[in-house]
Amino acid sequence: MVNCEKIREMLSALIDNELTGDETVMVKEHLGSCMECENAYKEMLQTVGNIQNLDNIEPPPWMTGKIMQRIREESVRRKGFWGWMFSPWHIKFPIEAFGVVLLALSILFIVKYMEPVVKDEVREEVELAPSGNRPMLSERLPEQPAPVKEGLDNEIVAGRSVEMKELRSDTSEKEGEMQAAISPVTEKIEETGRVMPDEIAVAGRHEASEVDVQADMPVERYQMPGSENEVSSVDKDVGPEGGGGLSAKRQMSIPAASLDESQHINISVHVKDIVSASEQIEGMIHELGGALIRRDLKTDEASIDLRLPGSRLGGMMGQLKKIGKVEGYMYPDGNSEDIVVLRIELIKEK
Amino acid sequence: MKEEKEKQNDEDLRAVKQCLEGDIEAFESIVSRYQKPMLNVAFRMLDSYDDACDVLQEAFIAAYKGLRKYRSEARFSTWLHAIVMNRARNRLKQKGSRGGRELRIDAPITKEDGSIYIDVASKDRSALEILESDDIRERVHKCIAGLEEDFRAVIILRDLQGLSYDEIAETLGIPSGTVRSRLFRAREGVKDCLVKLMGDHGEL
Repeated sequence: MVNCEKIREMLSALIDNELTGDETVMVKEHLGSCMECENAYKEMLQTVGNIQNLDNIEPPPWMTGKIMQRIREESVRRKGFWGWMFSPWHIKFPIEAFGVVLLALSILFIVKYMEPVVKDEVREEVELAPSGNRPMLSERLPEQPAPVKEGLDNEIVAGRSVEMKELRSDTSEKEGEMQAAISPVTEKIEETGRVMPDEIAVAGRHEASEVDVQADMPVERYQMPGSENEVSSVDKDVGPEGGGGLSAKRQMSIPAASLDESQHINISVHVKDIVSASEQIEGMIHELGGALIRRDLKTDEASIDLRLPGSRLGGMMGQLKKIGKVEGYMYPDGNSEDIVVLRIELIKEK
Repeated sequence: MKEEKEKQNDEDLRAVKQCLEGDIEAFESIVSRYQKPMLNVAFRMLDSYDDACDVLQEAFIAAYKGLRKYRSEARFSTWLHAIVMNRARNRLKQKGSRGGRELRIDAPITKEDGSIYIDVASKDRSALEILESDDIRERVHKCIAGLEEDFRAVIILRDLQGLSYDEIAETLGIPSGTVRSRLFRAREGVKDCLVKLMGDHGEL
């Protein structure tokens, strides 16, 4: 016999169709056989009917407007940081994307145009230099305002090669009038001596990123207008694949600031034997603590570019006079502060 | 009925999406659709028209501010019912009693201008029928208002709002079986109350 109390608890759910199938069958079967429960079911039905017949009250007509007004006020109040955080993506995304692009461009600009990082490479280079130069360069080291990277040396030399190119064309045009050519060349040297610092600084800024590339191809940068053979001769002197060039350069490697005061000097020497004179001059360079920049040998003439401490210039001139007749600018001896760049033109006597 | 609920829920979800994309005015369709049923929930819970109006406004603003928390697994109407119910219960706690003011059985529900709110469905009836039915309704209302808060809540959500047991369980955060037993007791309570009030009439 089913418990009537348990059945009555189910009557409410039966009205709502929330009983399971089995429960529904069980309750309905019981209601058919139990008058008391049947009456309870009817009363429950009537009660539920009465409750569900309650009228719905109407909201006041101003309700929607008032709620929306408060929501609009709330929306305005939420603007600001949190308003921004919750603002829709179609507004926020373009602004944020623009900001990211602007930031990226700023970083790119800073990386590209900032001065190269200061390194101790200069000190290392100074120690590699020949003993004759060391005291002079070491003394200058504390004064260096901006040490230059190794690649910058290449750039400096390359810069000079351009100047040399000009000088060469200038002098070769007036080869027959060598003496007359001296003064314009000297002027040019003095002029470039003043101009160079700016040029170096500019080159350092704009091509700092090309340092490695330049280190690998010094020969090309030293190359003068001429045949392929001339280039190969340069290779031999300066060094294959740039390695020799680098070591030659390191012998006289100097900070950019000291090059400010270096001078270009053009000297002509009339000799009988171009080849032997050339070899003698190379020996002198080595003895005097200088560095060979390039050598260009031809049948009747030769051109040798070198760097030399100013203090050794007098010695160089003295020895040159032993080889042959010297013509050209005579630089005053004794100024040990300067590095001089010489071009010695060897002319075969006829 | 179920299809109609699903269709309405789809419309609700569209409006919610628009709101989340920044279209505040889309919320007006939600307010228009739900202000009446939600006001009735609040009114039956609080037994005060003014309090119900206040709670209704608070609930809609809370719903708007919390739209991002709404998860579409539940019906939007269920979520809104839960907000209104919570707000109404909070109001009851603030007042420290089960209801705001004692509703007199003979007190009509009046508008601000003094006229009585009458549901459209209650027109087209004879004067006697209106009198009798209004009398019964007032008594039923009083009996519901006399129930404990938990029982009042289930009866409002089931018999006045038509929510399923599962929806009521979700709205109130209670098991479905508890809904079933509470609803039975609540209806029994209303029945007993009506028997007392009808007295001599001998019928509910």
